[in-house]
Order: sequence, then C-alpha cells, then structure tokens
Amino acid sequence: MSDIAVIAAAATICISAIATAWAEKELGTSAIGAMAEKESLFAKGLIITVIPETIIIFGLVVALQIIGMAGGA
Amino acid sequence: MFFPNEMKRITVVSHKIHLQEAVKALYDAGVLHLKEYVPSEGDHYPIGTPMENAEKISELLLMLNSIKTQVDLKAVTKTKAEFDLERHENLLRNFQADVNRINEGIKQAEDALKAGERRREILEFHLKAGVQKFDALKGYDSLDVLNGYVPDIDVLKVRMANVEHELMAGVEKMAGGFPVIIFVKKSDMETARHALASAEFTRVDVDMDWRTATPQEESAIFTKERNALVKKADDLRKELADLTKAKGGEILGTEDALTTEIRKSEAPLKFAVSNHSFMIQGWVPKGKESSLEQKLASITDNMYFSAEDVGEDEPAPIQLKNKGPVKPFEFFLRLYSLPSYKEMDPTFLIFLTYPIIFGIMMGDIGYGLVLFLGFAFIKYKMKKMRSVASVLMISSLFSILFGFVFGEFFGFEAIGGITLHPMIARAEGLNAMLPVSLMIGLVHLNLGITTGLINELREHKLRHAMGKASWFILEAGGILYLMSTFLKMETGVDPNLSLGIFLVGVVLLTIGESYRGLIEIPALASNVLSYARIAALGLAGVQLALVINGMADGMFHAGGMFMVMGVALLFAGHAVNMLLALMGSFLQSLRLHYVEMFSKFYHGDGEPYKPFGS
Repeated sequence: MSDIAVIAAAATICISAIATAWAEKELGTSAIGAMAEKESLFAKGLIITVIPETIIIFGLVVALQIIGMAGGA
Repeated sequence: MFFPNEMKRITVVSHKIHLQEAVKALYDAGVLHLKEYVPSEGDHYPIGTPMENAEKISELLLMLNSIKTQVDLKAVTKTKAEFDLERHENLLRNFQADVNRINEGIKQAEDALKAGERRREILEFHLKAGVQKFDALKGYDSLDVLNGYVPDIDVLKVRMANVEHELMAGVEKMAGGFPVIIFVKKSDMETARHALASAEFTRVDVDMDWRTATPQEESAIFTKERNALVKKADDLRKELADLTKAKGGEILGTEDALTTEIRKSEAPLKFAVSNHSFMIQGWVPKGKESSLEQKLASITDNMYFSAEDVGEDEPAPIQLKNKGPVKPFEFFLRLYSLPSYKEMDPTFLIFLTYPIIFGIMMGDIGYGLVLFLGFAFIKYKMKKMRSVASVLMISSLFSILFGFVFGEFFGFEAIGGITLHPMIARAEGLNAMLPVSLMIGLVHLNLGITTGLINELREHKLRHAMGKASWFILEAGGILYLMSTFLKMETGVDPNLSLGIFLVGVVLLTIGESYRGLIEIPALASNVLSYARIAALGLAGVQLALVINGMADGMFHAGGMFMVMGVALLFAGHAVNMLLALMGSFLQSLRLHYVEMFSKFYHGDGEPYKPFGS
C-alpha cells in the first residue's frame, strides 16, 4: 500500500473526527443549557447532540474505501 | 403488550351541590385521569373555582413548609392523620409558636455568649498581665496608664531605659504578644511614645465596667454566667428535639392529609362549572368504568355518567402494560417520549434489539460477567436506578453471549487454559464485522418500517401504509442492483430488472408519502451506514484490551516488582476500558434506536396516565 494512501486514510479520519467534535461541541453546550432548564429534555438533547456522529462514520467508511482501493487492509 | 392500555372517555354531569361528594368519590376511586377543561369562545361553562377551604389549606401548607425548614423531620416516623382542618390548624399553630419561642431563646443565649467573648478577652489580658485590683489601673492625676502587647519584653525594657516608668508584664505570650501595662508620667508621654513605638508596642483598649474589685472574682462570675448560658442553649435545643420527636410524626401525617385535601379542593379548576351544574371529563382504563359509575351513582340519582370509546386524535393518556423483563425497557420511552394513544408501544421491540446491539458492541465474556454482577448489585442497592440496572443486566448477558461468538475474555482468546474459538475474529480488523453491522442495521430499520406500517394500517391511513410498504420493494430492488453491479455477485436477477423494481418502489413511495419520501431515500442509506458504529466501537474496545494485555505481558516477563505493576495495570486498564465501552455501548445503541429506528415510525408525545387521587 502506498504511503500517500495511508496518510490520506488517516487524514480522512482525523478531519472528520474534528468536524464531528466541533459540531457536537456547539450542540452539546446548548443541549446541556436546555437540560438545566428542563430535565425531561435529556433524550431530545442526546439525540440532537449525537447527530453529527454520522460525519465520522462517513469518514470511517471513506477511509476504509481508500485502504481498499490502495490494495491494503 | 404491543399497544398502550385501552382507555374510555368519561363524562360526569350533575347539579353543583353534589360537586364535593363527586370529587371525593373520584379521588377515592383513583382511576380517572382528569382532562383539563379549557373553555373556548362561546362556551357557556366557565372553569370552576377552588372549594372554600382551599385558601385555608394552602395557608396551613405554607406554614408547614416553613416549619420543615426550622426543624429536622428526617428521623421521625410518619403517623397517619385524618383530615380535620381545625385540629390541623391548632397543631401547626401551637407547634410553630413553640418552635419560635425555643429558637428565640437559643438565639438570645447565643447572642449573649457572643457579646461575652470580648469581655473574656479583656479579662484574660488583665489576668495574664498580673493585675491584682482594677482600682490600681485608674484615677491618677499625673500618670498615664498604657495597655497593650509587645513581641519581646527585654527589647521593651531596653527601649524604655531612658524613660521613668513602672511596668507590669505577663510572662505568658498571648495571641497579640506579651501583655504589658506601663505607667508613665504625663510629662514624659512624648518620649515614651517614641520608645514604645520602637519596641513595636500595640495599644489595646481595655476600658470596661467591672462588677467586682479583682480580676479573679470577675473571672469566677464570668465563668458561672457563661456556663449558665451554654446550659440554657443546650436545654432549649434538647427541648426542640423532644418536641420534634413527640409531634413530628403527626406533622408529617398532617402534611399528607393537607396535600390530599388541597388536590380535591383545587380539582374544580379543571372542571366546567356553571351556577348550578358541573361537568367533569377524563379517561379511565377500559374495564374500570363500571365500578366508577357505581361509586358516583351511590351519591345521587341525578348524575349523568357516560363512558365512550376514545375518538380519532383524542389525547388520551398513555398507560404502558409491559410485564416481567420487558417492563424495565419502558425507561427508554419515558426518557424520550411516550407513544401517542393509537400508536404501537415499541417497548417490546427495544427489548428484543437493544440488548443484542449492546452485546455486539461490548462482546466480551469477562466484561459481561463483571457488568452483570455490578448492575445486579446496583439494582439491589439503589431503588432509583432499578430499571436502568435491569436493562443493563439483560444487556450484559448478551455481552457474555457475543463474547463467546468473538472468543474474547478480557481481550484474551482463552479462559483459564481453555482456548476459545471465535466464530468471528473481530480483533483482526473491520472487514469481518462491517458487513454484519450493516446487515443488522438493515434488519433493525426494517423492523421500524414494519412498525410504522402496522401503525398506519391501524389508523386506516392506506396511502401512508402503501408508502411504508414501498420501502421494502425499493430496498429489495436497490440491494439486488448493488449486489450485481458493485459487488459483482451472482444474484440470478437481471440488473435492469432489479433497477426496475427499485424504481417501482420509488414511484409508490412518492405516491404514498409525496416529496418527503424522496428526501428519505438517501437518508435510509446514511441510516444504514450509521450502524457501522457497531463494528467500530467493538473494534476500538477489543484493541484497547489487547494493548493492555500486551503491556502487562511484557511486565510479567520482566519479573520482580514488575509483576505487581503488571497486575495493577491489568486491573486499572480493564476497569477504564470497561467503563469507556459501557458508556459507548449504552449511548450508541440507544442512539441507534432513537435516531435511526424511531425516525421510521415513531410519533410519541403521549401524556402519561396519572389518575386523580393516587
């Protein structure tokens, strides 16, 4: 497997992880704020907070694709 | 089990004179979930007003709350009290008066003790400085008396050598320094002041009216007074404790009686009440309506009672009726939102799928065992955590089960010498688990779609039902097409035919759910991909466990002190990994239900069934 493919796969995971973290940071703080006002919002807050996790899952899939295309794995 | 408990809508109408009795009967029956009456424009019936004793009861409850902040009622056992407004009022007023009197006494004693503190300090100064008589310190025409502290008496003596003076000095150092009393001629004050300043003398004001001639006598009186005050405060505290013990149980009982009564008294706020009549509406679980009718009929014959079926879109309250091991899973719905009345109760579905998904993420025999025992302990010890603990106990069993599938025991592929043979070796990479995870996702989502289909059929919304069913056609076509074109598998179906099936699904979906259905198609793909987290989380957990085991293994080979460190590392490492995996698996499998599966069918927003009088 070429070095550049490995770096590309790693970069995909890193960048999508940062994107997820960034998005969840914004959502999480607001959700906690809302929960402090009304505790029953826990589940709704949780759902909204975890939505950006899809980003890193896509990152994972793409990274696996890159490794697969480069003939490694 | 699959649907919330069936309800009947109840309407009670009668003359206003029977209102109080009707409310009492409904409260005692404890089955009617009251519907709040909201008068709309043009309605003849206004909302009822609270019964006449409501104000008094509220006042007493307020007094009771203030009492509870003043005395500690935690240790007393409640005694039951029958509602008797006059008796409650007397009890509370007398108790409040006693508590006030005692607290006032305690405060006075404490204030006096605080005020005595300064007197004690000054008295101690005199005693330590060696004063024999207070008279000796005042009444001089030509002398000034200076009281204060110095850090060092020898330094003071040297500095004051050139000034004519008399010195009384204590030998024992106090908080401010050595206590000294210096007698200096008034004419020498200027020089004395400089000398004292260089000896770091700090002056204190000790002027006080003494009741006796000597500090010793004063001290004796002071101690006696002080002891008396301390005793008084202690006695009062004991009196309060005794009083609380004697009356506390009754006070708590009174609180219950008053709370019950205020609920009854304020109930008319939810009814429609005119000048002469009233109307009460609400819901009862099916089967309870006849006993309620009998109770109301025993009050008067002039009472109209009707029990009807719940109508379309009527916000009837939700009472879930799951039993045994399924019941704790209702926790997830209460956390999210209860189903609406006509909707299927997905608790059983969650019971089937949640532990499996959790178990796959956390598949390790060792971790499963530890968690099972841990949550059994929590379930036994902490009442509030009971349902979550039960859910996690069942889920831990699946962790053990999948631990055998993956052949993992704290990351090792062996238990005490017996080698485990993994059916799926997930530690070796994502390739084995990824397709399995996506498959689970597909099945899980289709369970959601099926539930949605049942809901639509039950509500006779045939067009929406067709929309839901078209997902199956669409999926079948899509999967066949992908298999034959991208994965180059032999499906036995022509790719064009499968594409055709897919397009038929799309058309039916568009008819059933209009443009919203079209938007949902790419969402389905991203939903399925989202289940890749099952594989990812499991891999992360097992890799961490392997790292811990590898490090510990190295330490065991090094021998000596490293053996101990190795054991510590195994314990700490696996504890941390287990907690991480627990948090991850708990939240991620919950998320797969809430976000992915529920989006396929769930409406929610049901109001929990809370009967009046329970």
